[in-house]
Amino acid sequence: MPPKTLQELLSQINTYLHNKYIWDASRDDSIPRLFVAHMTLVGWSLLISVLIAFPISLLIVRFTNLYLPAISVAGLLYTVPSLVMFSLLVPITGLTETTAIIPLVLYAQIVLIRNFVAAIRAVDPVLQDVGRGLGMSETQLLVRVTLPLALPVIIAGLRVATVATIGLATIAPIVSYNDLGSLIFNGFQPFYPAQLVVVAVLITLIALIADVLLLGVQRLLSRGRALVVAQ
Amino acid sequence: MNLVSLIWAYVHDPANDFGGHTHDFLLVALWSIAMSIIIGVPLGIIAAQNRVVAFLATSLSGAGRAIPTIAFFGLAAALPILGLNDRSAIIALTLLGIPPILLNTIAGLQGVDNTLVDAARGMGMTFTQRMVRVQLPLVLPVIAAGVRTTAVQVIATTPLITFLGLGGYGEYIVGGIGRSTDAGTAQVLAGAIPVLALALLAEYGLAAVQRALTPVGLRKQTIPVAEIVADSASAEPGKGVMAA
Repeated sequence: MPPKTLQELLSQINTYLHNKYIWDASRDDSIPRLFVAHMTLVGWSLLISVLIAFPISLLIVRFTNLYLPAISVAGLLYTVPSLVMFSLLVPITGLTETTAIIPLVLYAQIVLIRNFVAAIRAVDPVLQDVGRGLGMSETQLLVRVTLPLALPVIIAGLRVATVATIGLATIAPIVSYNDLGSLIFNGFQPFYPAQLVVVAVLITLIALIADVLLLGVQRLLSRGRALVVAQ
Repeated sequence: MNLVSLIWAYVHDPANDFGGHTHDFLLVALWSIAMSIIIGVPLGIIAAQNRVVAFLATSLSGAGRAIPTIAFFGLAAALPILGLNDRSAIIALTLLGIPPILLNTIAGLQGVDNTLVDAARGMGMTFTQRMVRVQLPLVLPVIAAGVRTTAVQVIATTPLITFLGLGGYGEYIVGGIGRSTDAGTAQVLAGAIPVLALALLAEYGLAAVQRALTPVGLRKQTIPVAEIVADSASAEPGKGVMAA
């Protein structure tokens, strides 16, 4: 029943939160299980996103001409509405976990590539020259000088991508990947306002907590150095 | 039958009411974009006058990015009196659409060279005159960039109104997913193609509007500002990205 007043909505929410079934981890559709499914999807997507965006960024730093084409393609992909992207993949990859992961990976590219490139470019070239002067190889230079210095800005990009991916993963139930988003999709028909509110707030909180945690990591890694945030 | 003729047949079948779904989709999307502009621009003008308010508006818009798009519909529909109807959908999409316009209006106004505002003040212009004759013309391209981001984002999210039982192209997409036949794929495409086309039209069409609004002498300087602001507001797909 749709609530008529705010009090009624709040009491419905209270009843929902005290429903022991939603917390019963032995049920597939319980909040703990769906939370794990949600974070698994987000984790895999981010891992694959970074594994793709990182080498592309290194290439762009080396071959500057690649920047515009890479960013244009990533930008075009980003303009594709999520429901369209998910639905167009179904005839190709079916109703599988892969179909849920691919769009999340593609959407994250623009944010990650931009930040990774900016992070690496922001490293003082003098320090790299010092490394070279010490006789470091290109790989040593990358691993021991450039990356440690670029890491805080890289994490900053990862933060933005993480928040976005947690939100986007909510659409995955469209392709039959059940995560916290399915509680929202199931909350419309039949109409269950309390569930809609609780789950919406829950996913938002998860995204905000992930953001704060990564901000902590970023601060820790920057070790007091001023942060150059990429645009 | 090949896919193209299947889509063609699907769209022309009166039982699928393509015209009606197009109407439902456009009605909600256009109202939401219009409301976002009507609320976002004045709110931005007010917020830009005060650092604290501007900071609050910016932080709130940033935090809003953590809310999944489908959750906006859930939250709006759950509110008392609202429920599952097109008013809830438009409210949800408007809340989603305000931040890019609001942020760009604030950033644009704060970016106007203070000497220009001082000169206008020195000429005896009132607040309204300064705003209308000096600041807004300079800021218009930046606001247009925000409108572009909002339009793309709203169009990308409108298909979800089908879950509120409001029809639109999303109904075809959701109805066709999982039907592993060619007819199912045609049904998905009958919804996906118009949505994608509208999103691309908004992204690239409004980019042209944005360029046209930029005074010729300022084109080199203003556009990068607009892009940066538009980008920082776009952490979600469909929010549109620079295409400089």
